[in-house]
Amino acid sequence: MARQAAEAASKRGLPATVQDMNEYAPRNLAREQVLLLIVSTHGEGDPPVAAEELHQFLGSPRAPKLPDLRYAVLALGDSSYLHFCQTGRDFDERLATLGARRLLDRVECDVDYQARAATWIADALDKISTELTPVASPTTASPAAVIHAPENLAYTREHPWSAPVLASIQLNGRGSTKETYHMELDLASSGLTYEPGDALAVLATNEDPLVEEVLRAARLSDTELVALSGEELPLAAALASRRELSVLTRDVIERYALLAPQHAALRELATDAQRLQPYLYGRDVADLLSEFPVDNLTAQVLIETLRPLPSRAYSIASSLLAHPDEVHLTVGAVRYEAHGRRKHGVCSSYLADRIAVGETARVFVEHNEYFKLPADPATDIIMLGAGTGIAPFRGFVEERVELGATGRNWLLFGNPHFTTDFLYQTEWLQHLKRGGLARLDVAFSRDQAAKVYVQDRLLENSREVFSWLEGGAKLYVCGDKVRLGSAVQDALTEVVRREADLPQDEAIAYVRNLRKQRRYLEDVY
Amino acid sequence: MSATIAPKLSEVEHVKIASRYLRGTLVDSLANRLTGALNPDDTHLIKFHGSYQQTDRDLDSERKQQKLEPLFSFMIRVRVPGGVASASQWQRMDALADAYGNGTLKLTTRQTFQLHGVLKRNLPAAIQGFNAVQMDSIAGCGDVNRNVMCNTNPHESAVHHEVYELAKTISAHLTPRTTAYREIWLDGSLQESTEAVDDEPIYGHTYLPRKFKIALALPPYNDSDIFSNDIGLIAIEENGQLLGFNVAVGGGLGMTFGLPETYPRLADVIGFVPTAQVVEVCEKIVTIQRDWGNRENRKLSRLKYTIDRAGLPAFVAELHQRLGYELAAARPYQFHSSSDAFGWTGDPTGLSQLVLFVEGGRVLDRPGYRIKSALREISSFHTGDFRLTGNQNLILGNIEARHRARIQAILEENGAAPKAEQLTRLRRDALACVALNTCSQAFAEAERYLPQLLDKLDAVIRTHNLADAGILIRMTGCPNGCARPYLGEIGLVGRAPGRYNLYLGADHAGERLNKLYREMLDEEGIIRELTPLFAAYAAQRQPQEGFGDFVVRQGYVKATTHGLNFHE
Repeated sequence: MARQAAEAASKRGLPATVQDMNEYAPRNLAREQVLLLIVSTHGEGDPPVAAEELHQFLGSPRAPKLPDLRYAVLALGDSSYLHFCQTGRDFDERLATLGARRLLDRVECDVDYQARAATWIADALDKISTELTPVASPTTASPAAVIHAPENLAYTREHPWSAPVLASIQLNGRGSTKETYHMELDLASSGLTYEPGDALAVLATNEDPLVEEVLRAARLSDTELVALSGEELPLAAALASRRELSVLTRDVIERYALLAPQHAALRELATDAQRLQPYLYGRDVADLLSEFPVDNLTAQVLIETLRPLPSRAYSIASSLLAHPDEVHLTVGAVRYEAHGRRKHGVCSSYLADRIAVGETARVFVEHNEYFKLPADPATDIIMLGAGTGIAPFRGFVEERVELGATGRNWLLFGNPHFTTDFLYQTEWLQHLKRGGLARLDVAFSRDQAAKVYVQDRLLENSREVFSWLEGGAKLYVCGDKVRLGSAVQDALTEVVRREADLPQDEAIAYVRNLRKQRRYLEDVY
Repeated sequence: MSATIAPKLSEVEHVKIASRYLRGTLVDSLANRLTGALNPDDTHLIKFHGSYQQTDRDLDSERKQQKLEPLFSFMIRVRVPGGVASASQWQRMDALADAYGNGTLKLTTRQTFQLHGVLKRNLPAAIQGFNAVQMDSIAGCGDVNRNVMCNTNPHESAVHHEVYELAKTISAHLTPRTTAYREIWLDGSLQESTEAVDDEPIYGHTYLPRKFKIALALPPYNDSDIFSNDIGLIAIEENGQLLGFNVAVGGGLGMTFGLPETYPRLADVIGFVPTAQVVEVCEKIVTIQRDWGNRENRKLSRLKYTIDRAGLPAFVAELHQRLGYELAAARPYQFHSSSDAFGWTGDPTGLSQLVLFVEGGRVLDRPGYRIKSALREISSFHTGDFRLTGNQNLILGNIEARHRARIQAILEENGAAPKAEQLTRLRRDALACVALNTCSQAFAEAERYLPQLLDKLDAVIRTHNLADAGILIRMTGCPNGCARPYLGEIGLVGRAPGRYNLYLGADHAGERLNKLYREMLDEEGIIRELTPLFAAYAAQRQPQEGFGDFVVRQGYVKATTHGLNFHE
């Protein structure tokens, strides 16, 4: 998106440079004149990894006054999270506090960001053209658009690639409690490329039974026409492919509560975050509509109340070098019983159940600039993956093997059961035999009385882990944010404390420094 | 050809040589969490510890697709010399089957317990489990003397007890001395660690060239099929006194399709020895096989080939030389049957026995037939023993009078009572090996399929009023002979999925091998071939004439008089 803005600027004769926040020296901000800042928000209102340093700097006493800076902030987020666009708000406020002046009010975008973002770019450039042209002289410091956004690609959410499914394989053996699919998609003739560590976004549709359930609960007809982004289409089609139904989010509850003032309980939920979270858990749109029926709900109002169906991103599980013209995914099917109905994750069940080999899935690549292999092929890497968190590491190891990288690869993997859940077992054993993996450690949590996880294996091998880190190894973590992410951080701190014989606070600093050096990277969700 | 060609030892011989008395890298193999399998060399060595590495062959191709290795698991064979287990041993095996196995116990044709489906990580716990009730699996498999069989004569007698005690003595004498078993499986559970012993006074460091089997029988019962063993010992009794044993050598049933130089062979009786010298005679025979046996080609390394290569007289002469004395002339004996006599025997007011039919030797629970639960309950109060027969059946021995009715009731409640009137003798006497899905050797089904085939054959049998005719039918999934198919009056040996060779003409007492009658039959072919034979047998048999004798007399097949003419 920043590139889009830069291109649009240069078309208007405004010289612009695109800067990655991660690469940008914060002190240089004092020399900038015009700044268009685009930033997303992660998790619980946290800045993305690339923005962490700048975000922290601007809030610190070291931050310089910025009286000469004009700026505009485009905040990207997901309104289903409580702290929607929090990082964008932070930047907007901190820049103002430091004396910079807004070109425009901050614009906040939800998952369907494209139109609002395009308007923001146009408005910002209008302002610059009309108010600031004399300043934007190429001889002086050029306006900088400091960015954090996916690289612009030919294939986008609006223009996805329809990728034929080449294979879909259940990876879990019989009797497993897990259901994980290895999917191979065809990229031939698309020109689409990716690097290990990138994600593939998939545009799924809702399953028919859920659409029907929503229609029934809303007491609306499937054929009723609704207007959506300038086109008219039947309600059922709009619900199936354009609106999020399987997950219930805060913003939907807030909008819906306004339609249903007679339901005091709903109003309370909408205003009480503490109670809202447990309510949202396991419920979908059909549950909401049945529990709090609204008289005279129209199809159009329903569509406007619901949120757009976002794409779902999966860490790519392959290397293009190893599999030219293919992209592979590792998809965990989400299925559960809740509030009287069997429920399915929209995208995982779409991939697992609803598209067959030979059919196509609409996809585009979301680049992840940080979760990347080391530039130096001689650098060692340690990879910790749990469950489908194994995915990017399959791509990593394939890529390093194809490149003949000399750095050692160490994989630590965890899942419930050895016999059924050792994802890609035969491939890993081959890599181990042929040198693609230098080490492989596994933790199968439920094969013994005491549960054992990957972080436990990290601790068991603390001497070796520390020696790899001291040798410059990069460490990657992929899997569940809460259960894996923080557990690995704690284990790593303990490894350092133990092996370097450091007090706790210094061990914490050591690990923090690893993050800062981008040698401790996470792809957690 | 040059006179001196250095023997090219088989791969397994090299593994044994490098194994340091059966240790190999088993400890590392067990510690490797990345695979359910052992290091390749260790798969040979673990047999000596009583276990085979297997895969669930039903799932092999599915799991390959799933990028998972085959579902490796282990069969563990627990030795029960003479087949006699206590109630507490039974209870332990029952519990171990549930905890670490596939929930079933297999009673084998060699009177052992087999656990199936034990994952590598559970092997030590399982072995420690039966060790705690004084059972072991060492030498359950491998190139050593295996479980020593003794017929489980339900008519308790002092002589039978002496024979049984001798079986245990032979077993103990020929058990490997290496402490590898203790070190690898038990040390973690023992108070003090084991001091390594690296000495095998009988076997030497390369053990035997191939497996070795010994069985004892007290005529007229031959349910241990002694002639199929490397050494068969026939108890000679006079006026209630055990005099000694006729010694038979060179039995063995395995062969390989397409290799006529391999063949099943029954043991030759070579003389008589007083009881006191039996252990010594066994040891010397073992050492001759150790020294003379073929270590280059495992298909030709059993004692039977050693004897036929050297000639029986030369073999006997060597034995006499090693003994320092000659065996006496064999005494007369008579075997009547190699099958089990089902039902209650003994003294209703004293001790009694119950011979219980266990289909395929498989102790399990399935709807309507809960023999595993029934036996578990019985084991909680039964003060006698549990005897595994050589025909995969079970004898509840030394039942107290006060328990008779209770045992009968429990069996009936669980659908596990012997309903002799409902079963044809064909079914009761049938034997089947494990075969698919776990045995890596199997070409075809056996244990899982034979009951269905018997459903169809029973119909023919009943049509000809042969339900009470004892006809021995035995099925294996490969030609190796685990269910002793070449001693079946009807032998069915798997060639390919759903295809069997049909052998006919063994006698009923385990004293004559059968002969190939038809090849590559499917189920329809088996029924088509056997139906007219059953009809002819029903119509034309002589009094007391067995089915095997009948088909020979009528010329359907020629009698096999020696292993060497089995293929003729």
